Amino acid sequence: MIYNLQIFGAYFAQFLKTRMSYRTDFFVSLVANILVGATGLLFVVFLMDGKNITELNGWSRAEVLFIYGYAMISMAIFSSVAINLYGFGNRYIIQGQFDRVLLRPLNSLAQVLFESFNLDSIGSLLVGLATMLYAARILGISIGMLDVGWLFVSSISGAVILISVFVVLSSVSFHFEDRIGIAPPFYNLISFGRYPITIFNRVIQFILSWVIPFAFVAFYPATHFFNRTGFELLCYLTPLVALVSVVVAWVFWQFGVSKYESTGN
Amino acid sequence: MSLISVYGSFIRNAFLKMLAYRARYYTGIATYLFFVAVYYFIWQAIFAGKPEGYRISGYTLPEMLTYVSVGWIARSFYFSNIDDEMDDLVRSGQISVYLLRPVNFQAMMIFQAVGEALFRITFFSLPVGAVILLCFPINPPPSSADFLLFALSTALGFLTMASINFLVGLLAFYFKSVDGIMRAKYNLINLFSGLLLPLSFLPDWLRVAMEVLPFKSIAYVPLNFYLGKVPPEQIGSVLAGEFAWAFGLLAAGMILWTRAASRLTLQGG
Repeated sequence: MIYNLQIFGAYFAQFLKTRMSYRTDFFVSLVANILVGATGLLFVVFLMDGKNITELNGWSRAEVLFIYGYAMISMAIFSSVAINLYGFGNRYIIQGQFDRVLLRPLNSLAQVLFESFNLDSIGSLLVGLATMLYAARILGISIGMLDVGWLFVSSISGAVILISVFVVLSSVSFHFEDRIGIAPPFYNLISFGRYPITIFNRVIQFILSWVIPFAFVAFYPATHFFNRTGFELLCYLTPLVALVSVVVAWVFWQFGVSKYESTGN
Repeated sequence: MSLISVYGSFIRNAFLKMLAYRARYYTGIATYLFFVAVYYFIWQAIFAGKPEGYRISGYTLPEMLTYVSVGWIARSFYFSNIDDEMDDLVRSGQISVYLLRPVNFQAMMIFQAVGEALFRITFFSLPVGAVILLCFPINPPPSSADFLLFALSTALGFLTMASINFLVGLLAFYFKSVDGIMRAKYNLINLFSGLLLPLSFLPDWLRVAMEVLPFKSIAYVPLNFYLGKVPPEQIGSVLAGEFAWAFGLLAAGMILWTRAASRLTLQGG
C-alpha cells in the first residue's frame, strides 16, 4: 500500500514537472477552466435573476446555486483524474498503450487513472466553493466542523461515483473497438446532477438515483445543509453509494481486462 | 471550374470521412437528447405555477421549449471542429504539408467544414430532429417565410461559427496546448450565442454588448426568425449585420493566418 502510494506520488511529481515546464500555458488553461466554470454558473444566474424568477419549482435561487456549486466541487475532483478515461478506447486500446500498462506490476486501473492529471480543474473547484459559500450566506447556513467534514466526505464520494460510472463506460472499450466509445453522452448526463432532482420526471429521478447515481454527486448530499425534510436517508447514503459504485466499476474493469486482446502490429 | 473541383473534393472527402464513424451517430443522437432534456425540465420548472401564456423576457413556455429544441437541432448542423483539427495539424507537424499546397488554407478548412455540415444535415440533424420531435413539443414556425429566414440565418451562423473556430485554431500556433481555450470557447459560445437562453434574459449592460457582438448570429437570431419574433422592418438590417460579421471575421482570419503561418516552427524534422 505504502509502496503503491509512493509510486503514484512519483507519477504525480513527474506529471507536475512536465506541466510546469510550460508555465504560461498552464496559466492560460487555468484561466480558461475558471471561465468554463463561470459560464455554466452564469446560465443559472441569468436564468434566475432574483427579480422576475426567484425559484425553480419550489427551490430558491440560493438553494439552486448552492447545489450547483456543490456539483462543481465534486466534478472538479472527478475531472482532475478522469482526463485519462476520456478517449480511453482510442489511446489505450486502439493505439495499444494498454500493453505498456499490463507490463508493469501495478494495478492497471490505478495506472490509467493516475497517469496524468488535470490540474486546471482547481479553477472550477474554487469557483464552485465560492458559489457555495455565497449561497450559504444568503441561506443563513452556519458551517461547523462537522459540516466541513461532511462536505469533504460527500464531495469525494461524489467524485468517486462519477469516476466509477466512467470506468464502467470505458471498460466497454475492451469489448468493442471504437475510437470514441460510448461515454460522450454520459458527460452530458452529468449536468442533470447539478440541479434539484425534483424538477425532472419520475423516470429520470429513478435513473439518477439508482441506475446512474448522479443525484448523489451533489443534490442528495447538499440537502444536509438545507432546512428541508424528505431527503435525510438518501443524503447520508452517499458514501455507501460511492462504495457500491467502486465495486461495480472494479468488476466491470476486471472483466474487461480479462477480455483484452492487444491490437498487435 | 478547376477551383470548384478542387474545393469540391474537400467537401467530398469530409463526407466520406464522416461515413466511417458510425458509432458516433448513436452516441451523438443520445448526446443531443440529453442536452435538450435537461433544459426542457429546467424551463418547465421555471414556468411552474405560472398561468398559461405567461411571458418571461418575452417568451411563453411553448415558445421557450421550441426555442431550446430547435436550437439544439440546429446546433447539430452548424458546429465545426476547425480549431481542433488545426491544433492537431500543428501538433503533429502535418501543417507543413498543407503549407506546400497551392490552396488557400482557410478556404480549405471552411469548405471541409461545409462538407461535414452538409453530411450532418441529412444523416445527423434529421435523425436528431426526429428523436427530439418525438420526445419534446416543438411548434412549427408561424409561416414558411419564417422558416426560410431561419435557414438563411443559420447558414450565416454556420459561417460565423466556422470563422471564429478558425481564429481560435490560429492560437495553436502560439500556445503549447489549446484544449482549455477550446473548452472555454465552447462554453462561452453556448451561453452568448443564446443557445442556452435567449439573450433577452441577460442583464442590460451585457445584453447591449451581445447585441453588437457576432455570437448572436449563431443561435439567438436564427431562433427568433424561427419563432417569427423579428419585426418585418428589421429583417433586412438584422441579416445585413449577420453578413457583415461573418465576412468580417473571415477577413480577420485571412489576415491573421499569414501572420501565424510565418512564425511557425515545427518540432523535430
